[in-house]
Amino acid sequence: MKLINDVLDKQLIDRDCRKCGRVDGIVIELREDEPPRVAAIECGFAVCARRVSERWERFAVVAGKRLGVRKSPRYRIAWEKVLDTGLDIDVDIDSEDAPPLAWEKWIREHIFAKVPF
Amino acid sequence: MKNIGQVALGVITGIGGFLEIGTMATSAEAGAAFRYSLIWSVVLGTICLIFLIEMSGRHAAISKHSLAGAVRERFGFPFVVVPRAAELIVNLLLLGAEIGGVCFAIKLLTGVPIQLIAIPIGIIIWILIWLGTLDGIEYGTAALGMLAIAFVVAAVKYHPPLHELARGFAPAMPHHDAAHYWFLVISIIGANVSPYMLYFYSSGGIEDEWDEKSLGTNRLTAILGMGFGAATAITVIICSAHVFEPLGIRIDHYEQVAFVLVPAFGKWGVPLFAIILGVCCFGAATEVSLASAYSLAQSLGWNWAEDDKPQREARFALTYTVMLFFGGVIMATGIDPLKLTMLTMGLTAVVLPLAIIPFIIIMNDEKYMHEHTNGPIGNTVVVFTIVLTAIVALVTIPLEIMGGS
Amino acid sequence: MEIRAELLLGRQVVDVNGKHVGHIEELIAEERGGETVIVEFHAGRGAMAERMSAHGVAMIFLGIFGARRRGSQKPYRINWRDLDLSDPQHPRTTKPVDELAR
Repeated sequence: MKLINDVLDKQLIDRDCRKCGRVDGIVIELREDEPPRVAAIECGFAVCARRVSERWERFAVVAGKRLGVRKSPRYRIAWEKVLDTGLDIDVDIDSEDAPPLAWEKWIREHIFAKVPF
Repeated sequence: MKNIGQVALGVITGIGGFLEIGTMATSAEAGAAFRYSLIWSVVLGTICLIFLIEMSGRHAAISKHSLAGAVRERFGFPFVVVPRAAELIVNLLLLGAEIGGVCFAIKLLTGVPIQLIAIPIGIIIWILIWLGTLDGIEYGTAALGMLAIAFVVAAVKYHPPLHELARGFAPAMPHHDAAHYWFLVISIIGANVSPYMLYFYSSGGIEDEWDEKSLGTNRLTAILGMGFGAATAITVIICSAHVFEPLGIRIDHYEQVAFVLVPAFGKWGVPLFAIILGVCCFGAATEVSLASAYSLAQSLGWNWAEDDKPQREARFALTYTVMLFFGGVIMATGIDPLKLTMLTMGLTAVVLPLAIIPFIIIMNDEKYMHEHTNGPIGNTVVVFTIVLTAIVALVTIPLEIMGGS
Repeated sequence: MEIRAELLLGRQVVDVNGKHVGHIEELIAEERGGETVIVEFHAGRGAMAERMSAHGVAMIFLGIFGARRRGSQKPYRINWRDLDLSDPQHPRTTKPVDELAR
């Protein structure tokens, strides 16, 4: 498996076949005398921002805290939850109540709930 | 039968959807300033567009992935940040211009000032997108846009000299006002090859669940739809050349363009022009706002689908909501719609290379395209388009200063 | 210690003697003993072409921008044991570049 080509930036699909973000980062655990282990995938604006620059990451973290919609600007999915890697990455999570869709839920409840149709 | 129907709808969409504020403004100015000499730039832009649209559709049908999503997946987040941000800004300005076109059409018919109706028009477009389906929006506005056939009728009535018209299909050096000539070339290419059209077409293909069987329909739709649409744009040049060029009138305001159909249709000329402009710009505004939401949602991995309930795709819906609101605000400031249009066409030309460069990788990636990767002709056209748009991007800003608005 | 694959991407790798090897463009993983582990790192200009899955005309186009040089199309394949990631911002191999596999 090619981690960059086949996993990074790919679409995440939860167990209900909903899109729940993209693989913004991959966490690797370095170990003594053993090959590095793929520990988790990460998503979130702070993870993306860090790939641009540290300054953008700091901005993303501060903005995320101020807005307060998500508990954390990073969401980690353990590698064991990855069911399949193809053109998309299937993960064994229910994203509806998970951080990846926190903003979706907030907008629905605080903005579009007021729309009469 | 189903395929014939789909091709027919695609042609209607091409004709009715091709004309919008950018093509209208640039074609009118091209005809007024240079008669038929700039027809070749419409043809050139359209040939590039046909290939790119066909590739967008083929990519959607085979990979079942959106264009914007594939660019993110293949090039990574840091690559897409700048092009997406630039495209969103340009789309916002273009959306403002399209809303301005609708408002100007209403002003022609009723006298109501543009600033008063800009935000309400944005709200009406929003309601249509919120409540409608993609097919309904696309085919509905495109069917109404078939009124643009009036330009074809007028062009025939004006009896353009055929030998002079034919010469316009070949590139030539300008006899006067070179900076303005080349600025219009760039603006026409920018008006014809707009990135938002590629994202919109690709997303539509996925929403309509195209597959390998749709490839033939896709190709025909691209060729015939864009081809007939370009023909309509050429008739705008012909009409403008007949009406304005003999009098030495340069198009500085949309009010001038409104008379382009008067010699052919008499007192119905101005209302007919207003209706065509209003409908075409309305359709284009829905496309631009949806295309912006599509490309952002697909790049970031959000749920997206025009055909689904907006509450289920809240971030996608919020994106087009915000775009439409600020698009209306831009026109409510009183900015001149024509100047905004020409500026936007130039800026579109600047961001074009960033939108097209990924095609060379994505359309040759067997993981996505299987055995339907580009052939040598397709790749040659993509490389040519990249080089052309890169040159255009480099000279746009100086030409905009020297020869534009 | 944890590192991020996306931040390792593009990092310049030097060999044990300080000679330039290339930029990390791919991490190869496989299943071993119920875990997914990194077995190889690919670096060098050929690795970028590999990451882009670029073929044919795409390679010609990338070649214009120096992404491919004649005779150096294949990436360096660095075994996990041969890459020191104690400083992830400055990875270095534990072997000279001439001894790295392609």
